[in-house]
Amino acid sequence: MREIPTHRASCSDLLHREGSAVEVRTVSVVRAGKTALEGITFHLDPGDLLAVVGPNGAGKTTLLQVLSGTLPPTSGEVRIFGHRPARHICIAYLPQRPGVDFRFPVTVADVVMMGRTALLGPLRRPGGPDRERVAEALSLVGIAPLARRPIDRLSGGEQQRMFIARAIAQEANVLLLDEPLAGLDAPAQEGILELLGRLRAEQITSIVALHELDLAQAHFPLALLLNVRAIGFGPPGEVFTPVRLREAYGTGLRLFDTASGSIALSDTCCEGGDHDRR
Amino acid sequence: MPSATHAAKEGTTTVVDLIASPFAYPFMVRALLAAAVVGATCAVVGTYVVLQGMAFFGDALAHSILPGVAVGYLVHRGNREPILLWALGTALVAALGVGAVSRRGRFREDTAIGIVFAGMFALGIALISTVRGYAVDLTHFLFGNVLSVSPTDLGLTAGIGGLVVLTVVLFYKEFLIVSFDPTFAATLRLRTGLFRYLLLLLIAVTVVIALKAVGVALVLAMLITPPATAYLLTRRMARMMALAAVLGVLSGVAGLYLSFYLGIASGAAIVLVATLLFLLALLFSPRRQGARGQIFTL
Repeated sequence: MREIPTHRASCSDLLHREGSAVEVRTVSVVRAGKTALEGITFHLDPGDLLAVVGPNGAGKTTLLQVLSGTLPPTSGEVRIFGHRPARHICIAYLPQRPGVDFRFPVTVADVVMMGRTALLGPLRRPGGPDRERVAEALSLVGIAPLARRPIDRLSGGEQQRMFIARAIAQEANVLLLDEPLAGLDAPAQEGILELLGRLRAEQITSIVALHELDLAQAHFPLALLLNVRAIGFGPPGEVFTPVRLREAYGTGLRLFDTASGSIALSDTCCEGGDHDRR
Repeated sequence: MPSATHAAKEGTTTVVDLIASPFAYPFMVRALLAAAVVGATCAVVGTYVVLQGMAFFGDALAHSILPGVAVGYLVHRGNREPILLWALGTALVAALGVGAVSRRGRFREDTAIGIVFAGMFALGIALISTVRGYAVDLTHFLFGNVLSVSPTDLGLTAGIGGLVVLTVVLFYKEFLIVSFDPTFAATLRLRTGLFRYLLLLLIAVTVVIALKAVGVALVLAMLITPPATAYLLTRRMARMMALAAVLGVLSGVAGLYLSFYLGIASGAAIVLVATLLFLLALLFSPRRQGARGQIFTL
C-alpha cells in the first residue's frame, strides 16, 4: 500500500475508499521519558461519534494530537481513510485552548473562509463558490447572523461553533475536538452536543475529548475510556462499569449506590496536567 | 466681492507654493519618494509585527544590523551606496539567527533576543568609533538621513519595497492563517516554518530599506505606529493593512515637509507625525469604547 504521491489529497478523493474512517493500531507515545499512551487500538466507521474520557493525564489530548497528524506516535500507526494523517487535509483539530488571539482584526466569516485556503492552493483567491460554502457552513452550525461580527465579540459557545464551521468549510470528514464543552454553560453545551449529532448525518466522524461522564453517556453512541491504556471501548453503557471506571480513575473517582442507581463522581476539573504546556 | 476672491486665490497660491517649493530640489524629490516607499512597505509588513506582538523582535533586528553597516562603512570608505547591501546581508543573518535562538533555548525568547541585539549593537558602535570623527556618520546610521538618498538608493529602495509588498499580497491568505492560528495551519499541511521564516526575512529587508529614512533607532516606529493606528480604526485585516500603508506614506511625506520648513531632523519629524496620527486615532477611535479586544490599554 503506497501513499498517494500528492502532497495534499482532498477529502472527497479519499471518501470513495471503503473501510474505516479512522483506524488506530497499537499506538504508543513516549514523551520526555514518560509513557503518555500505550497500545491504543480501535477503529471508527464514517459518521461515528466517539467520546474519549479519562482522568487528567490520561492522554486524551495526546491521542487527538496523534490523530491530527501534528504529533507522530512513538510506535504504532494511524490511518484516516487508509492514509497517514499528515498527508491530507480531511482532519480538523480544535485544541482545547485555541492558540488564537481573539483581538485579531477578522470577522467570523473571515475565520471560516480560512477553511477554504488549503483547498484553493497557493496564489488563488476565494471566489463565489467559496463564499457559498462559508455561508452554508455558518448556517449549518447555527451562527449565520454572526458572519460579519468581529471575533472578539463572541461567547465561548459561538467560538466553538465558528471553529466547527471552519472545519465544515474545509470539507473535513474527521473532527477532533478537545474539551469543546469546558467553560460553557449548560444551554451552550447542549447546543454543541446537538450540533455534533447533526454532523453525523453529514457523514462526519467526530472524536471528542470530555471530562463529563454523564454527557458522554447521554449523547455519544461510542466511548473510549482512557488512562494511558485503553480501558474500554464501545457503547458507553457497556464501557462505564464500576470496575472499569475504578481502573481508569483509581482514587480520583467515588462511586455511590443510591436508590436510583450508582453515581460516579470524578475529578471534573479541566485545568490539570493533562494538557501539554511546553 | 472681488477682494475676497482675490484673497482666497492668493491663499491657494501660497499653499500650492508651500507644497510645490520642495520639488525644486532634486534631493527633496528623491527624499519624498523614498519616504513614501518606506512608509508604505513598513506599514504593510508592520501589520504582522503588531498583530503577532513582534515589536521587540523588530527593534532588535534593526539594532543588530549596525555591525554590518559598520563593516561596509569601513570597507567602502567614502562610498555609501554598497552599505545598503552590507546591511541587507547582516539583516538576513540576524533574522535567521534570532529565529533559531527563539525556537529553542534555555532562556525566554525576549532575553535571548535582548542579549544578541545589545551585543551586536555594541559591536557596531565599536567598529564605527575606530574612525576619526565618527560621530556624524554614526548619527546618520542611528537616526537616518533621507535627504542624502542617491538615485541608486532610491531605485534599490523602490525595487526592494515593491518585492516585499508583492510577496505579502501573493501569500496574503497563507500569512493570515499562519499568524492567526499556527495549529490550524499545521493541520492544513501548510509549511508553517517556511512562512514564519519568510515573514522574518520580510521584516529584515524592510528594516534595511527604512534605515536611510529613519535610522536604526526609529525604524520600530515606522513598523508599528501606522499599523497600530489603523488597528484602532478598522476591524478587517486587509483594510488595516491598506490603511496602515496610507498612514505610513502620509507620515513620511508630511514629516519631510515638517523637516523642510522647521529645520528639524527628518527621521524624527516622520516618526512624530506618525505618533501624532496615532494619538488622534486613539482619542477619536470608535474602538476605544470596546473594553474587550484592545491591544492598547492606555
